[in-house]
Amino acid sequence: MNPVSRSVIPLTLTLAALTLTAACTTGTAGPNGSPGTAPAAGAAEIPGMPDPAAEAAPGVAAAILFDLGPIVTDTNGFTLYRYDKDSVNPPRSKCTEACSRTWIPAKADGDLVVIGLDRALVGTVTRDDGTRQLTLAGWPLYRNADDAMPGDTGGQGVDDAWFPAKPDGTKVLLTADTWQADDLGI
Amino acid sequence: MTSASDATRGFFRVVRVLLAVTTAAAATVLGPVGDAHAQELSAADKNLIVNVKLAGLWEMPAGMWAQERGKSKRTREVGRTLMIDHGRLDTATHAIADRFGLALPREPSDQQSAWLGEMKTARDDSEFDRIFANRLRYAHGVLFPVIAQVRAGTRNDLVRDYATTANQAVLRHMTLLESTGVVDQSLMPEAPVPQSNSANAAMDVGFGELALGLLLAVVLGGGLFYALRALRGKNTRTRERAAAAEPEPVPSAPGGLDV
Repeated sequence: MNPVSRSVIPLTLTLAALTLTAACTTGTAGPNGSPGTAPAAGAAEIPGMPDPAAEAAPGVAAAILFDLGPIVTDTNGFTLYRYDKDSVNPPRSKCTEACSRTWIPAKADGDLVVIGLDRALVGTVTRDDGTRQLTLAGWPLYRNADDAMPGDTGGQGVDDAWFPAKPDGTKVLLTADTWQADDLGI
Repeated sequence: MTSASDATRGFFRVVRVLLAVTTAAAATVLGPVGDAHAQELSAADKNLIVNVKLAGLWEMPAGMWAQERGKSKRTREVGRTLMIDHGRLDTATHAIADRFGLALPREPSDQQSAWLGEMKTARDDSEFDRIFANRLRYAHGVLFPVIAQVRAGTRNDLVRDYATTANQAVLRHMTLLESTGVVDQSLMPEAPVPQSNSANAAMDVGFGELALGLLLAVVLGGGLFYALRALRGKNTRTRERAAAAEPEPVPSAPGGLDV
């Protein structure tokens, strides 16, 4: 190979590459964002799945979501939330009346099922209306009436006070919009 | 060396002119493409969304049954995790389908229903564990490359995010199902035989436009011919000296990797 062709070949390749680059970078406009939280058909629509309105056996279970990591759910797989305005020591729920129709207190009557988390962290509190509610590390637990599917976290961040609970009782702060950046190191 | 650097400068001038011409041509031919298609779903995009929905329609009940009936503790845990993850995926699936007005199936396919039937009629709980892990692992193995191809090639930004999410979930589910220890890999869909030279062929895809391909061929070919002629004329002495000093290039070894 002589010096002429040795200098010409890389230059030609560079030229071709630049042309390709120019072709590829034209027109990148389009909608941005990630899959949002539009209402889904819901578990009740799927044959063989529990109706979200049906009462789950009392108890809590730990789960690890593929995107948000560890959370706590009820025994049907629906996300359990905690409320920043509640008191922990002693436990006391500040979500009553209308609030408790959107945020349904997790029932604590009968034998409690505890799957995958520290049983010592699980307790109960008596609500103002006399019913008993599950607590985790002292935090009263709730299900969001708008969650239609197991694992939904549509109530996350509502009023800056509602968050899915982690198995240790802390809050899930990672969101469906931020996990990819976190997970893939962007 | 003076003549050599003159020749190089001359060559760079030629390159700059060629570059300007081809860049302008590419911009003209491909300019408006991105905007026009970003709002629509391709057939491949739709196929992915519908198939993720179908997967959820049978894997959620399957996961729930495994949580209740699974013989091994691991099967029960995996079933529960799959049910919850597919619940999340289903919500994302409906969000993107609603965004683009895509109708979604409400029932699993006949094959998926048959797999659910197998699980229901399993003779005992250990047979249930095997059917659950192998049927679900097989179905995930079919879906995985569908997701990967859309993730790699879709023109739609929302679908790209959605495919990233689905890819993460399905990769995790295959691994979880295998962790039950009862998956028979010989039953899984095999990777296709690679096409020869597929990497090089893939590089050509960007030149889909026939007009652009022809234009580039003419411009590059003509430019190269001109440049070679100009350099050869000015550069003979340098070339001869260099050729005498340099060793012969080593021929590529027969049977070696020649790609």
